Amino acid sequence: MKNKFILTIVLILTLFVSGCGDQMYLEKSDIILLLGIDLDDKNQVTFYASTPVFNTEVKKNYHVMKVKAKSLREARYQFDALSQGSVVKGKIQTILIGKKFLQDRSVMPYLDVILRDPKDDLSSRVVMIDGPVEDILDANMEDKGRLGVVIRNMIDDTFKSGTIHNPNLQQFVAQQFDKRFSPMIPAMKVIHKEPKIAGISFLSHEGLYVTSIHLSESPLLLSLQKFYLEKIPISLYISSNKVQEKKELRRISIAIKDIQRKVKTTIVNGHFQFDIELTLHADLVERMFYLDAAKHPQLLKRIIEEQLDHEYKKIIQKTQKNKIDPIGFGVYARAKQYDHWKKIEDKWFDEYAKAKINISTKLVIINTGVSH
Amino acid sequence: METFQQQEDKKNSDELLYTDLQVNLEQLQKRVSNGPDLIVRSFQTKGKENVSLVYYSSLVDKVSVNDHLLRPLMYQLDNTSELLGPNLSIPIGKVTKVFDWNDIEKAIFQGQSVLFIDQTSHALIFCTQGWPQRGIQEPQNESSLKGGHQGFVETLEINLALIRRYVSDDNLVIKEHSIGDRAESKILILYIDDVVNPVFVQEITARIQKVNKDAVLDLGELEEMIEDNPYTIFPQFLISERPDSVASNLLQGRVVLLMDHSPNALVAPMTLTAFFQSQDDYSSRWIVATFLRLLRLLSFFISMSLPALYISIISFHYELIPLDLMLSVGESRSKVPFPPILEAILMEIAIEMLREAGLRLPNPIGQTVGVVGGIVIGEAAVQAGIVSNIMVIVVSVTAIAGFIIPNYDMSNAVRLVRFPMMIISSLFGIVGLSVGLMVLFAHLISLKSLGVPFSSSFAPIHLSDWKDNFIRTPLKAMKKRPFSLKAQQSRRQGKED
Amino acid sequence: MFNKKFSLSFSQYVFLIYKTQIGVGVLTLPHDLFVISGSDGWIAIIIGWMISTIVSFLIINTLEKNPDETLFDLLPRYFGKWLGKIILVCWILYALFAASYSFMYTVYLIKVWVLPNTNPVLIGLLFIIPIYQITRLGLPMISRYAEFTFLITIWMYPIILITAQEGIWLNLMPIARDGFLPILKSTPVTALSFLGFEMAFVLYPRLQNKKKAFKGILLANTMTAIVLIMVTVLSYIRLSETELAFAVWPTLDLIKLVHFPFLERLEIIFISAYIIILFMSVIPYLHMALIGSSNLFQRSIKKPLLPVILTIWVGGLFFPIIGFQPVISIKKMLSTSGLIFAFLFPVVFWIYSKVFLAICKKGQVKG
Repeated sequence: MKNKFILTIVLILTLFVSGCGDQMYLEKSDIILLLGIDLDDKNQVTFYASTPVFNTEVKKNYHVMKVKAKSLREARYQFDALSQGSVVKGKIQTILIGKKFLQDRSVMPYLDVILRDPKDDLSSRVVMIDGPVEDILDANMEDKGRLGVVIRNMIDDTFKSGTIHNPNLQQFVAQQFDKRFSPMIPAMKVIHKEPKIAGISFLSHEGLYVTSIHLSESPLLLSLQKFYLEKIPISLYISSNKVQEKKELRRISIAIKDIQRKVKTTIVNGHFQFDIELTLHADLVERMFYLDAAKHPQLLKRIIEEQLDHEYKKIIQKTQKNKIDPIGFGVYARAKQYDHWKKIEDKWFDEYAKAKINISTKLVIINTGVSH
Repeated sequence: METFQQQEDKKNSDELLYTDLQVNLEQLQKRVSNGPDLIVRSFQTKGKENVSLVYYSSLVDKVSVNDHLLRPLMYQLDNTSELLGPNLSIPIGKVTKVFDWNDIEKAIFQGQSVLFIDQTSHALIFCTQGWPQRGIQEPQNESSLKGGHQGFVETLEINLALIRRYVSDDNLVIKEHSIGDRAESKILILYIDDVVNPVFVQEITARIQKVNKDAVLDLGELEEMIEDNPYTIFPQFLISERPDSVASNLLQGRVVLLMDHSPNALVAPMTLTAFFQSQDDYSSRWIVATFLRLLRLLSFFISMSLPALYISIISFHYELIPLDLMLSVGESRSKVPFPPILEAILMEIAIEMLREAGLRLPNPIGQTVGVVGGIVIGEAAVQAGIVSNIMVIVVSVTAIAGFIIPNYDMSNAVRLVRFPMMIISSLFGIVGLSVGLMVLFAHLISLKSLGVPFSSSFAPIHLSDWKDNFIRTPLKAMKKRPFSLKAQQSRRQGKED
Repeated sequence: MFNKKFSLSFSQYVFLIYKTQIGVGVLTLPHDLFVISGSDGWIAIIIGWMISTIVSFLIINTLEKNPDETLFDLLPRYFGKWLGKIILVCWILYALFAASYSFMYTVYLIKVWVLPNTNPVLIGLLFIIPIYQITRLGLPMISRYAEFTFLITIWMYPIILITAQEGIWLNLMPIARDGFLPILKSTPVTALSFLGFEMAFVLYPRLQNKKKAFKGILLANTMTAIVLIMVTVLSYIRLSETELAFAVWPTLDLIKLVHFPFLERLEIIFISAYIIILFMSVIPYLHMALIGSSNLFQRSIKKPLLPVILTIWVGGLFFPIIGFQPVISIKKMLSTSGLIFAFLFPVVFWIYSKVFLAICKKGQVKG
């Protein structure tokens, strides 16, 4: 009995040694940290990849590859031909997509290989590049570090500061496929070889680039979406005539700490109507003009609320005009008015453009710092 | 007086003493090897009887032989039969009358003195043992900070005394057995009569009686012969050198074995979790003790699986670790020419060698070995590019984690388990590690200690036992003895329900 | 404890049934339900829970008359020698089928998610070691291992729950949006995930406190239902409809979303640890098949039979049955046979035994 047992163990061990196909030593592989997809001048699909170089004796510690291919899988074979180790894509941190590419076609079919392979990460950040992707790969990294890490850190940091949404691949794909959303992705720009986050760009349901908003407007959009981490910083220009001040000094900044949103969904005349009641709990962090807050405690609140209402309306109108729904009103439409939704399901974005959206903001100021 | 009756029965055999002193002494020369330390002192007592006192000078306490035996025999005693009477006239604790050569031989070899008396068919045995002894010292392997600092020594009587000082209960039963055909050793089975589950006593007695060997020199040897599964690397009984922890186990309802010439006590039955308890836990603050217990549990897992986990991550699942860590691991690995498994085994073996080398050497040299080895392996090997920094960290953390486990046998077992884990995870990555742990725990769960499931308290689950297993609750809350022991009295505090 | 016949404690009984139930189903159920009843799938689980609890009650009720006999002992008595034997063989085949499927599924799962390039035969060889080790030692070992499995995998629940924090709860609204018909239609799908309570047919005679038998099975069913609902609801609020419709393993996709600062890609660790749970549904069925066949041949044939079964399993991996299509189609077969053996059979058997006993009684009174 014991002998048999030992025999089987020996047998098993020999079998083990004979094959273990998945071994892949970390230092011997080229790990793609950054993947770029773009169209070149002749409208051919170009793929870029940046991998870290582990050898500490080499001066440049990352490696950039550029290939022309019809699909990502095909591109990988070419990457393999270009690199020392075997190319792996399980740790892609960032996927950069050129604006030109997004204006021409949807990126989804090109990402299929990543979505299909369970070894690949779904939390890669998807970013649009306002300009050619190649600029990012040529960007000046001498004072920063490895390209893939730097870009990732930039995006993560902006995300944590509350000015862009979480740009992960899973969410992007979910929004892209969902009938109730249209996707949005952060946009980056390269100015004088220095990369920077530019704002949020909106894609249509078909995956094509539609429009974008600047980094100063994006927090407003996020607060409307009830998205929050720790804080969302909002800076406003106060247009109210209650403030007597020069134009350049009519600015106020708040940091939103908590958001409560109530949405009432009704059907009026065959079209959707959304009444949004937004309660923002925020700290006042900056006020550049004089206001006797001790005397008129409600006044400051009111002028901010008015301004917020105005800004929100502007953003909503922008999305309605472009027939995109990044805020996700479709979620309410389906949840609350299912019967009507069923009828317009496939043309929701046209319907959204016709919907009437009322928004009223309530501001609760928690802290005002050490002064009124 | 059973022995006496037996002797009466065997009267006719040729193992009996002769009446003539000279014949007896001749017979003695034949039976007992005539070493230089065998003393045969023939003289006349005060009452004009011809007697001979025989003993091994190396095994007796010379003071008591000379002062308390020879002097009264020579100058004071009138009649040797008085020695057994009610008014015993010599200051020796125990005097026995024997008729049989076997008893005489045994007595001489045990360091007693035998008095042959001319014209009688018996001999007298005086308890005069005294052999080289070590003083009571601090336990070496299980030193404690707060508990007592006395450890067991090689003498049975002293060890018993140490335990009795902790457990002065009249229900403490001590049963004597002897083992070994050629060199006999005395074994004491200790238990508290109205607490212990009688099944344990029966079982362990039966197992001891089954042992059939010429000599059993140490408790560790005995342990292997009486344990449930000798083919495992996990100890199923506790071998302890601390009287306080032995006493505490006795009071829990366990059985304790003491053996002559072994400076240890064997405690049975044990469970896996009991190996992670230390006597200090009960004398320190319960929050601290809980923290320490959890730390030990953690280090148990770290010590078994950290190198395996590291290997499986860097040779299979690089995706698992965050990017920044991955980059630094990659950088440190970039110069190393070996695959991770080879690197790990190299380092592990180096550390094990260092440990063994330091163990057998005298203390100052041992420390030097540690320092030299540490510096050579830690610094030079990394500089030379043979191993990576991170592997050095992993291996040292693993080694340190192994030392936290309070029991030496258990810590050794865990130390060895590491290697198969490393191999299997270098073949199958984290799946291999998971299956490896599964096989290991299945093995642990299949083990038994004196018939008690070794994994008791977590498989089968006894939540009440957890109060003194993975954590230590305040003593007030620990009202019961461990469930797995099925003690007769399950309560230690308060009233029995 | 000592040489006495082993008896199951209440917790061992509960965990054994519960861990048999949690297995293959949990990983795919959100997808399977979504395809039929959309985001109302979780209601079907509640219905499934009610049905399996009723069936469990019938099982216990049937066995109560003969508290010391397993189903396999009862079959020849109730159905006569030949019919009883035929049903017994069917049960053995069913248990063996369930065990084999879970085993193949585990190998497939590992091959797809963790070790895509490793030969499945090697994975199979690795897996039969613990299965052999545990099954060999019979019920005492299996029941203790079930408890251990519960303890060692307890961290999985909070990990799954973490995913709730960014979910869109409105995805579940409106409840029963297309009426109750699709929900009822999808109820049979949940059967596969509740399979395991029929283990009571074999466990009941060994249970220490027989009065708690139904309570235990109810507890196990409820725990299973809670886990299933948790997984399903979380998948629905967190994943998009497209993902749910196309992804085969939504539960794993869900875990893929969890990130810690020190650890990413939790699904790899999760799956590697989940094989412990999967084995805990392979082993009880294997045990059931083994004692069934011992009953059939009237003597213990575990020793020769177990290695044979395991060898066949590994041998089977040489053939390309490890693929997506076979796994899906065999799952349907298992689901159907589960419906017959675990749901339909107890009901029929219960009615039959009532009638049988009534006739017996009459016969006795007359005689």
